[in-house]
Amino acid sequence: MSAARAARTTLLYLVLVVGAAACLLPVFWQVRSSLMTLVDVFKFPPLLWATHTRWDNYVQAMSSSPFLLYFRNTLIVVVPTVLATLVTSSMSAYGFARFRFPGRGFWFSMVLGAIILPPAVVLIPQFILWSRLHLVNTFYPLIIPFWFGGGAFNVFLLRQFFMTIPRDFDDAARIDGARYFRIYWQILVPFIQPALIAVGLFQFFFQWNDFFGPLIYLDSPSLYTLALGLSHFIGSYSTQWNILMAAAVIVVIPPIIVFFVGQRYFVEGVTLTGIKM
Amino acid sequence: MDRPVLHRPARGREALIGYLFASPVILGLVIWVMAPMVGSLLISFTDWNVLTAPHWLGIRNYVNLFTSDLFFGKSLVVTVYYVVLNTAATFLYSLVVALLLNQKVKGQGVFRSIFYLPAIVPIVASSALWLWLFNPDFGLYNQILLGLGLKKSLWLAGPSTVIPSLVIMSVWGGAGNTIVIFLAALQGVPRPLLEAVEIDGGNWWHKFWAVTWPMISPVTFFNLVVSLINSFQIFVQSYIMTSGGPNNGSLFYVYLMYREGFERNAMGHAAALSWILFLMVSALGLVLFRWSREWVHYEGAAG
Amino acid sequence: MVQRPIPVLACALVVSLAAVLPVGASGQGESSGGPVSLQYAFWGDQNEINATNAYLNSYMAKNPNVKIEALNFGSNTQFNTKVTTLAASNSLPDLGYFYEPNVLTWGMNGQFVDLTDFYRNGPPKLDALKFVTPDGKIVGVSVANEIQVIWYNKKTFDQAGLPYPPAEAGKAWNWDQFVGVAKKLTKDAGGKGPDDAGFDASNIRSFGAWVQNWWMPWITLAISNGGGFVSDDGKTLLLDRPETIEAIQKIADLVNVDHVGPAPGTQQMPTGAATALLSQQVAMAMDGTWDLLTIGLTKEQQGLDFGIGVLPYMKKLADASVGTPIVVYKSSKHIPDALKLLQYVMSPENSLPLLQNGLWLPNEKRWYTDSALIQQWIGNPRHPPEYRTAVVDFALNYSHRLPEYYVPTYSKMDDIVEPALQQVWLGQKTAEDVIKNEIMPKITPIFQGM
Repeated sequence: MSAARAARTTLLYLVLVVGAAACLLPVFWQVRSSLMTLVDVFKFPPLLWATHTRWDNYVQAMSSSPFLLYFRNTLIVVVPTVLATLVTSSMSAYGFARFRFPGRGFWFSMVLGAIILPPAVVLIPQFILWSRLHLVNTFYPLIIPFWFGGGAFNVFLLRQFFMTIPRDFDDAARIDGARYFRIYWQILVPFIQPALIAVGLFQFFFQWNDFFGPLIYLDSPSLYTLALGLSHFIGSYSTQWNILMAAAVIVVIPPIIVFFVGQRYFVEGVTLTGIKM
Repeated sequence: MDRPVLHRPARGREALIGYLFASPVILGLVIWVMAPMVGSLLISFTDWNVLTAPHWLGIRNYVNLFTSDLFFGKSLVVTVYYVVLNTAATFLYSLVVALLLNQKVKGQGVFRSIFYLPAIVPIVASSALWLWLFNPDFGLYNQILLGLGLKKSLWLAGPSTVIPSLVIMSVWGGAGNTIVIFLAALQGVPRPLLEAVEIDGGNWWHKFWAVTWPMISPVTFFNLVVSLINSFQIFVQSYIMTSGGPNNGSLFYVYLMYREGFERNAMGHAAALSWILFLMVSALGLVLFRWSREWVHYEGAAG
Repeated sequence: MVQRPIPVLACALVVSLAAVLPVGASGQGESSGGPVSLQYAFWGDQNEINATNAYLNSYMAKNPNVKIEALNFGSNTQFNTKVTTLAASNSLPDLGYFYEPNVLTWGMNGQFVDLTDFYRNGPPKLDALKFVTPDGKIVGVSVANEIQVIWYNKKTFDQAGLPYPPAEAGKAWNWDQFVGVAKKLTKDAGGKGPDDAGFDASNIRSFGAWVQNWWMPWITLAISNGGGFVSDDGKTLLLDRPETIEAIQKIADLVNVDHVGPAPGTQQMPTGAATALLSQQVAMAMDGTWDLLTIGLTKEQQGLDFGIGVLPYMKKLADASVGTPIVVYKSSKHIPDALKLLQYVMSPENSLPLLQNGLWLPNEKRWYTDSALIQQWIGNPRHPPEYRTAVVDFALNYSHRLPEYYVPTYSKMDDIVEPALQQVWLGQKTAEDVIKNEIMPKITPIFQGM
């Protein structure tokens, strides 16, 4: 390797390492606080690590709130939502990307409008609708909307990705006699696999951490999701920072696992999208 | 010269199937978006305060916003400032990081996860965390500044530093999504095209502008639009960390809407605010879409 | 062709509009004695949740026909969001806590049962705790009383060789004495105090006095200086009186001139007084009596040797009361039963655990005068000996009513006052400038439009 090359590579690593450190600093701070006694957390000048590592902060956090119940509830909401999103948003995106139909421009701008829409605008009318259907204090308001397009954001994203695939592939498949659904399912979807995984991951993380939806629609504590439970926890433990940080770490671990697992498919998806000519 | 006959179906059939595929989102739009929006538009023409029956006001709420409202102007200024700063910072940061990660570096997976990690932390927890990190007297960041020989900053407590501070926090927590999307797009850039530039003697700069940038432009455009729009929605930070201060320096638009609607119960007023926001952002979106025709390159558009 | 989605839209429209019209008030009639289901709304930390569930359960034990569903809203701001959506869908609870800034506006909109007659009977409640509409109706009374005190770390005072803050009204410090002591307790990274040469104000390690920037401390001190926010009869703004301006300026000077206070901010020291004292970042913290719970726990678990002192005064001794009220909703279908529960919950003897753990003070006058009752309340290790004079007596004799209890436009005015005053706390402008030129022109029309 030439010297210039070596220098460039070193610079590259340096920048990445500094950037990664900056990203990790707050997270590190959160973890270190979660393992300390309260006195140590606010010691000044700040301590880098606990003088006595307090794993029982985690025990206290787990036992102060029914986290397992919240975990179950969160799964009940998240899994169907992610599935619904992947299916319906990719279908809808395909429709917009590959077909001409009257009003397509209008409806697509409605999709964009929906992305722009601040949730607060429609909060009350939507709530009224659900309460008339007697479905408040259930999980339905949090799940059902995602069977209808899985979020305008995702439809837009996937449409853009579909549009990066040359029409030649559709045409080639059609020559072979494939109908529209096969083209969608077997040809185009694999092309956008990294994007699909990204969409699935985003939806997962969004639902996992969403507390505003559960706040509005879930009344009974037995239905609370993790995010809602955590925000209650914050009210209860606002001055016990170490316990609070421990609880936040607990809530973050499943998404982290999901991300690590999902990452692998990312890589596989990359190989599949390589266009061989 | 004789091309194989492609069975392009009749226009009518194409339209029907197109609708079928797009139907979930169209239905969703009607039920969860358009109908409630009409409801909210109607509310904006009334003085509804949730507690008593509404009275028709016509456009009085809207007129008030521009004449007698004490917070509308400041809120707009503050929000636009944040939107511009945040979008630019997030966009540049994400693109640079994605480009760097796309190089063949060792441990790419690890780096990628690290950069995405902040996006996973629940925003409620990170708000509490950053409040402490930003504390002017005892927070970590000022200690770092002092350690580097710089002066302390007021961070969230200073009217002129509050928005840059929030942008830093937002880029930290929000760039992850944008980086992942850029990465996915970068990894879809055809290698042969890049190699072709190399063969012609081009360096990474040429590769970027000649091949990468056009190829990822739909996704770039997407990221830009989404970033702009999301920035307009900033709320939680005002709600949890700053209560709109100091001196309304972070009185973001959606927070103002929330306050008017849910704390002052002026639903009509809040609905009017929300429609003004919607119109502004729609106009912005239209402008962006027009502009995108100049530089966004679609490989497989439906025409 | 595409079906125009008009029918769907029209339906949704009708639904939305129909829901907007409120259901007629209900809930007349006597307490039935048959099975009754009540929804009780509240919020609070784990201690409050446990104690609330305990007293609700004991009520249900005594009244087997009543089933109470306790709705825990997590915090007062979450409650605010929730109660609006509940009102919009006509599913408000029967009774419960209510977000203080909106009590009067909701009350004047006829949402709450008029409790004036209800409170005519029984042991008298403290007047400062009554939410009264301008036409004299009581729409809620604070379930607990809270005043402010000076919390301090005895160890910090011992190390400096200084006498503790006084715990009796008769011995209270005036403002200059308070600032003087605070200066002696403020140290920068080099151990220097504000009056020493070479003091580095940008590198202070421990602060002598922490007075927060929200409305309770500054209105209290303004009253102490002879001013205030609104006159007691609700008719005059006192914010631009010289006494008020002077008081506000003095609080701001603690940080910017005397250098004894931590940086101002909307969320200063988010960790609270207990940790600030324990870590010795702060020597004296002026904060609410509700802190006794966490500070007491910090003593028991982490050894914080704390003390309680009375507030310093500017011209006269003064304190102020706050407390979340319990209201009864007019939309309730079981108003007589709700009132019975209200009676129970509002009686200090039924919420004794919350009084004894330090979170609450009683809402009835006799609990401040009757020795046996006082003993029930503070005769436990959680309450230090000086509590009797520093809190019980001081609350009885010197506590004033705050504007949120009787000024309906208060929260609207506060939207303007709070942000503008932040410039004063930061030392960017003087109190006189901000109050006279920025605040008064804007709040005067709001106040008069009442």
